[in-house]
Amino acid sequence: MSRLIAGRWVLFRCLVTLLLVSLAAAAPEVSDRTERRAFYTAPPTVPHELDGLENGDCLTCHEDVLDLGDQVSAPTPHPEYFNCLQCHVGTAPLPIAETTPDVASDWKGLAEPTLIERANPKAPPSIPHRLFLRDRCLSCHHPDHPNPAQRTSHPERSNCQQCHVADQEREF
Amino acid sequence: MTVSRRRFILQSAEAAGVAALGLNLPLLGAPVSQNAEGLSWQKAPCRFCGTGCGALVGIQEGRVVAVQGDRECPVNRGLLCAKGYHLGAALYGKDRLKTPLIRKGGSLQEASWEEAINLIAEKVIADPDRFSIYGSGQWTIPEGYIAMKFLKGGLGNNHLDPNARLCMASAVTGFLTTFGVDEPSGCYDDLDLCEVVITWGNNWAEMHPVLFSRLIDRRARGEEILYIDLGTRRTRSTEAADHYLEFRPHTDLAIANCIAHQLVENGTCDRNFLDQNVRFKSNDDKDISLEEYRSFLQGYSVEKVSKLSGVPADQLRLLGDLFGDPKKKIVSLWCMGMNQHTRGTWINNLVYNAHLLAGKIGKPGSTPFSLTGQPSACGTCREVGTLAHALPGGRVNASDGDRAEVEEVWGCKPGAINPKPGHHTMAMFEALSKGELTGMWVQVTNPAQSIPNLHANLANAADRFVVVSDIYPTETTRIASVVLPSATWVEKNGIFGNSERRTQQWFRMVEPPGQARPDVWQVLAVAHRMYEMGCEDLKGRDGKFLLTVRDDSGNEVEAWKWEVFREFNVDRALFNEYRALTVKKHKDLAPYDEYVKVSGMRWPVVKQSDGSWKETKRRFVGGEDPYVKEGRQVDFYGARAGDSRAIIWARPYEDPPESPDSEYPFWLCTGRVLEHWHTATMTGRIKELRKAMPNTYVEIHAEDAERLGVKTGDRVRVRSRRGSIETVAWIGGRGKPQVGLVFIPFFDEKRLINRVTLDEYDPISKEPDYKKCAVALEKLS
Repeated sequence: MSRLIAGRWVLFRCLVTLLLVSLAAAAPEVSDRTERRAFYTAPPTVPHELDGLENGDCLTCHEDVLDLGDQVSAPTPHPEYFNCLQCHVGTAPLPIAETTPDVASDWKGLAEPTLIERANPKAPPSIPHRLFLRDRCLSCHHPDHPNPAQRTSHPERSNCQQCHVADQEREF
Repeated sequence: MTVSRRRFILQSAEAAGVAALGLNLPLLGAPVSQNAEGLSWQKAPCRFCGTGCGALVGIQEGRVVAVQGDRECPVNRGLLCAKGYHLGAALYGKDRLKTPLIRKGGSLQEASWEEAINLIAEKVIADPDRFSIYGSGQWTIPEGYIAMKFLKGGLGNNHLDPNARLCMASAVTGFLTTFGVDEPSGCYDDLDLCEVVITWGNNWAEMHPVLFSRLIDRRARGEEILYIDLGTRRTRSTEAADHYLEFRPHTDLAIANCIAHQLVENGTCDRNFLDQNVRFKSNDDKDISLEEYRSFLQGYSVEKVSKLSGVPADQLRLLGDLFGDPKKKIVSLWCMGMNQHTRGTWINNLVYNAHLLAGKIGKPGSTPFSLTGQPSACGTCREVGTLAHALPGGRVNASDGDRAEVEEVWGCKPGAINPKPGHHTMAMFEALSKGELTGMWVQVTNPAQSIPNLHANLANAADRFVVVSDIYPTETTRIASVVLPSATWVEKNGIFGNSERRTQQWFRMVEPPGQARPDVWQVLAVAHRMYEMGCEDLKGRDGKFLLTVRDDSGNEVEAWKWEVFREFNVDRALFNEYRALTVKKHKDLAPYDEYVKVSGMRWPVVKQSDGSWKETKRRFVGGEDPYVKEGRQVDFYGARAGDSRAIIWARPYEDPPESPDSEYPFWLCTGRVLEHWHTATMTGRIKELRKAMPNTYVEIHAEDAERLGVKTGDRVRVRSRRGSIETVAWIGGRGKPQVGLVFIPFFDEKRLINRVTLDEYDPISKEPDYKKCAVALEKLS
């Protein structure tokens, strides 16, 4: 019985979460991934409102791809971590925001890598980032990705590291 | 501790090169990796909280361009929080202070270092006994050490105190009264081993998020953990809790005594542990028997405490039963909720009582653990001892022997150190306002935003000679006579000490902007100018400059000259001098060069017969701590009576100094949010964090909001007997306070909540209570 109630509760929360996220659809979709990151490999900021959502709610939509038609969720490359809001902060103004802050800064974050190593011109490219927190490759790499570096022609081959080697000592 | 092969090779190569040249280690450390795009990575601890996460800092073309978690740092194992990842941007706000400023005709005007140093030196020489230094738990160890040596060893006054007084002074007095010596027995590893975690008024999901994740990520691996959150408001931490025990503010004192009551009455104390390791004392410091302690506890039955605290009886019994279960491994965690408390020392004692009675200390996975707020509150304020009454390594001004030992290491004239303690923080600002102190040098902190009851405590501060060393304009630079531009984090060398006794070192990686310079240099330069001006205070027993820095061969280094300072590792020289003072109370540190190789080590760090240096995970524990007597499982060797016994104190519940009434019907609690660090001097200049949390707000319970006719987004005036602010209401938001309580974060310099807060403080620790005062709310049209 209690399991049934728990199951219904989870379903209810999922629906509430979906509703809240779709209400937040007014948030502009940011196409440029660098806009959402302070530097290459920084945790992306959240492009929709967070108010009313709790930490564990994120995985409702982001554990895997969730296609709502006009919006598609970005799946996390590390679903084993629950405390999402530790690293990912919101960008949309909170309902309590009194002003949109103008932050004057000379910060220039690390750019996307331009140099991808290959053993020879036809060899599979090596992985330019560390795999820690990013070892579910297909979360970020798929055939239609707007960023060429994240496009893959062969998503059906899921054993990526068979051919693409990572420099295990890379620190980013 | 593992060091990756590549990292080891790079560091060894550097060490070999250095040895061949017979030089100090160079300022710039060896990168742990470097790629073809000119990007290199070096280690540094995070600049923000007391967790002490290891970061890898990405440097390209002389600038910080990225920050990642260091997988080789055992604290965080590769993770950081939003503040840590964005830390690099804290260095590059457009309004960085880049030149000294001197107030002339009412406004701050650009000046040369020469002019600023001369002015400060003249002012201090004119009135050395009434000059003070207000420092910080964000001081690096060498920064706190040199400031203390200058003031206590040089000027001979003790008006030196850090903002840590507002942060963990009650934790210190709690340790001292219970164990006789400061800082915890346990460590973060206990979070990996415990079965039960209890947080006492602590929202660690936002304040120590990496440690919070370290616990709750165990659940994702299928481990069972029982998490109990005691609080006065629901927070992000509560979302992960199995039980939330909501108590009326201040009644944590009674709840802790109620656990003790149940252990004693139910016969579930660990009698063996008590017989060997504990004695009992009355609140007025007299030895009492277990029977007398038992009769003291009669006032704390489950029924009585449930009525006082509002916590249901079955939840109080749950706590009693968990502590009474000899098999359960329990970690208690707390931070400001217990420390910023007018009975902060007592509540620290009382939580220790519960763990001592149950024998849940000194065992892997079972420990009370006091979290610290600032990155080096432990390393600098508590270990170096930058407090009004203290000297390095657990020594105190009042002790003739302690002073003599420090004078010897410092090379002071005998009797140079004053036995009389100086003003603690709250008394210091009062004395400054009254003119009893005529000058103050503020370093790495922003008291004009963070001191409680601001109007009263900083009333006339702007009329005094206030020097502020900082990296951005703040509320405090607004009242400054002189502003000195500082270098921060990886713009200088540094050493921090975190919550678990871990000392971590880093090297300068980039140049500070403009004329900004490290605080260590600033103190050296002022002190040497005073020496040049003939100030006797700055002469050591050999007649030479008291703060002389020496190289490994004992040769003097003219470190007060900027061009010399920046080419010589002054941190290394100061740290190795300070080390000699750490052994007395078994807080032994290794030589500086050992910390270069690792992501920190936990003291006591003791040299082994093979020449290596070994850290101590758990203090007072046999087989782990080398100072525990042979054959003992636990040895509280810091005990003042010399009997290796910790003290269980009969501390009573006491009403708070101010409670809500008909005129001011709400409790006000203040604190932090995940995105911002303290007064947001740094995080407010980071786009991602500022956008996520642009301004402060007031959290109100839905029932109270309905009664007041207030909705989320409405403007509200929050008023106390001391002052008021206007802000915006948030109902059902990130935190949900209990009925009758409101919460306001203190980061927002445009809405200074410390105009409203109460400045009553714990009479033992002198730490003010930012968590409780009475306010009225008024909806604004």
